[in-house]
Amino acid sequence: MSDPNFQPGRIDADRLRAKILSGFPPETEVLVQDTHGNGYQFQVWVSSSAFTGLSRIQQHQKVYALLKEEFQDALHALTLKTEMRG
Amino acid sequence: MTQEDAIHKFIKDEISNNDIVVFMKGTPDFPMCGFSGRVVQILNHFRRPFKGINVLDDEALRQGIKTFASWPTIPQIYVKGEFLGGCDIAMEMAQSGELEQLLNEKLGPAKT
Repeated sequence: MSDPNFQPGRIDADRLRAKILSGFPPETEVLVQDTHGNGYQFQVWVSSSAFTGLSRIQQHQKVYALLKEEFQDALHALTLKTEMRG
Repeated sequence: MTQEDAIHKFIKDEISNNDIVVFMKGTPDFPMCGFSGRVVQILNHFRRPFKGINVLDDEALRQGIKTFASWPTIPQIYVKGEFLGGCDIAMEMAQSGELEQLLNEKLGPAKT
């Protein structure tokens, strides 16, 4: 039987946002956009004081580390922009 | 040597022996993913020849490249053996002028 709602591992943008926020200080700003509305492709913007002193690569690694499970699972594409916040 | 060690050694050899290496989905002529395609466009724009390695040809490489740089996404760009970043960082650096500067510093001016 076909199931039009069958979407294995679909990721929720709010959950993704909460997951990122959980690893950052409270004043961090995180925007998550489900770019295709399908739960697999996201655009993420993170602005945090926690990035101070980190290279761009390290800033991205910090975010990626929090999304380990998602990357092993259904997360297909993530466009990431990080910003240091004074 | 575990399979992962062997893959990491392969990666290390490739990035030591080539000025610019891009681990990508598909080939430079036929990228199989928009992000890989964008990196090809960026490097072509700055007239920088590079070696493209298709991770879709080898599942062990596809996984091993992620642990090599603690970077879960593909494409990955290496310049003179050093990890530069993925598509987002390359794009940001290209737009700010940093990429051209870095390539000039590490590799000399691009051939016209």
